[in-house]
Amino acid sequence: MNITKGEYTQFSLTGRLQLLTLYGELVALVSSPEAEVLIFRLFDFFVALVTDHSRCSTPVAADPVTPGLVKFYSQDGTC
Amino acid sequence: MATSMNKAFASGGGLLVFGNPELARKVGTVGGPLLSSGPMQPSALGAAIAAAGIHLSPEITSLQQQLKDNIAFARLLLEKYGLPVISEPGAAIFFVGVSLPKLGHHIVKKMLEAGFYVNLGVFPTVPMKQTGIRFTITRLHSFKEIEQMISTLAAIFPAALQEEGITLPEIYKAFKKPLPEEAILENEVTDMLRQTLTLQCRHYATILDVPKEQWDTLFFGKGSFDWDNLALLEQVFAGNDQEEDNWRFDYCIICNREGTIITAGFFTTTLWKDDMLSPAAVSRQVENQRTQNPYLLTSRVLCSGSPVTEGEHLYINRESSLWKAAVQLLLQKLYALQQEYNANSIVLRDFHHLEPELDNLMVDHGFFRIGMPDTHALPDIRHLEPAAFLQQLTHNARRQLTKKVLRHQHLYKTIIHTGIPDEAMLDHWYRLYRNVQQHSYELNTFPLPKKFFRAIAASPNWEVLELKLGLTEGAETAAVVFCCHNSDAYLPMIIGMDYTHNRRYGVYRQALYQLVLRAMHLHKSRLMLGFSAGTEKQKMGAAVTNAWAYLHTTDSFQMEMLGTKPVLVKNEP
Repeated sequence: MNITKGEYTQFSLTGRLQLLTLYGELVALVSSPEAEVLIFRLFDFFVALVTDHSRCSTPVAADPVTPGLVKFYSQDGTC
Repeated sequence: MATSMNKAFASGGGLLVFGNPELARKVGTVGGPLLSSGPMQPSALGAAIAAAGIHLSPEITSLQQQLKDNIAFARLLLEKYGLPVISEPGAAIFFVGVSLPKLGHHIVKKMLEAGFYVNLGVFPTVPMKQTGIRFTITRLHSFKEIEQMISTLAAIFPAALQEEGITLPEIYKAFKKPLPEEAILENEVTDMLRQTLTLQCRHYATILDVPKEQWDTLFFGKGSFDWDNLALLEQVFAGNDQEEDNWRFDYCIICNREGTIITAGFFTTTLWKDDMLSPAAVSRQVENQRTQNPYLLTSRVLCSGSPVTEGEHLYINRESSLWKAAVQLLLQKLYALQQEYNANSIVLRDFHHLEPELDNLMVDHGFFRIGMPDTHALPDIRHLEPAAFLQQLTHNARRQLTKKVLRHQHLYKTIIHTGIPDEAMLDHWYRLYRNVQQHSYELNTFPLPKKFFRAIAASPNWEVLELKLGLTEGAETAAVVFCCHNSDAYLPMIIGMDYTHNRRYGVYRQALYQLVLRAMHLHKSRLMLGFSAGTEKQKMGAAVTNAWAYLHTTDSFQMEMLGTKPVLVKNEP
């Protein structure tokens, strides 16, 4: 089973969350007072899930991100 | 707009939507009756109102989006697992093609055992060979549930294909869909293995390429299609002006590795009248319309045997353990020929006994069983004399024969013709044949060309029995019968008649009786009298055999059209 980045982007936020729950692997977490960013590896690409603290940690976005951004977010600089 | 509330509204009943209140009022006051059954039940009405409330609120957008996600996910998984999805993208109802009903039943059973209930889209909802697994995705399904179901289906599918002997390319072909590239490769390997390891299909486009002794041994006593007769038919039905007079011949012989023949048969692809096997009243109506358009309701048909041969056209060695596999291989070859010749249907005809195993096999492969007109034969007449023949008839049949046939026998003169007839005689015989052919609605066929009669009259395997009625000086030909006599059976194949004196002097009955005498004279073991006129033939002591045919059609529209024509018509001529 494999889903490409293009196929992933066809889903709504609710669908993306289900895909992350089913197939995603958490690789990094960055938290700030306003929001939290969770980086997931999903098949052969990465997704940044952003939750809004001001709205009870409601997920507001789950878009694909580049490996460079993942390196930036991960504490040890690897992805 | 009129719509149902059973589907998206998940309740019941229907609703009408109008562009303005005035139109709604007009329909309500002066329109037709709006009640067809009963009032909506309160629970359904409550659900409909709640559903309408959701449809009018912003909530509907997110709900629709969730459903859309589920549909997209299911579609994605089906594609990833390489399942043959037939349904169009975007719909919540999915249809995974399986082609034959037997595979569909197999998969549904396995899915049920695995905890998933899926429906089967099966004939008559869909054409026989377009069976499929049907399931619906709703908003309430989770991705996890969808994945579990589709991955289970994907695991069951290849195993079921193997068990039922169906390949993925056959499924795509049944649905007229292009085959994915990887499946093409897999198919070639599978085909090569199957053919090398078990059975071999030998296909010939002419009888001249088939070993004569082998063919004649296989089909001896089965009917009027020995090697010589088929060579004659190939010559006659080629290079003619009329489309219906040009037939394509195919011969298939399926052998095992040792070369033993398991299944064999010959097939012709010809233009048929779609009402050929319909009730006579239907054919009569269609023929009226054909005076304007002779090719109305006609189709190209790939048929076992030919329109002028009778008997068991398909040889199946039931003692072989591979007979079912051989029949399947033969059917595959026929499907390929059907596609190549663009034939609408395949008809395998003249099965004389209903064999449950074969019947199941045919139905599983998308064939319908249809009844043919009964066929008639006089068995065991080899050692009979006319007097003994009369004695063995039932009391009633003997009385009928004496009263209606023997009484007029002295008025008739029977002449047996062999060799090339002169043209004037042939013309007359042909006119008599057309007399009969034009009235034969029970088995409605195109007229045979005169060229055919010239050829069979000249053939050493045929003879012409002419019956002259001597009422006046210079007896007139009352009937002519073209008979094939090259096996242990005597086969009167085609009759021509002058109906003028039939009612008074029983020309048809007399012809039947003369055929019996001729068959006895030639010491033939059987007299095969063929289809139609069953009552008369039974009075002559003929045994009735029910005959069946199996029909596989790619387009049932024409047949459905024939089905709309009334069988009973008032004021029939």
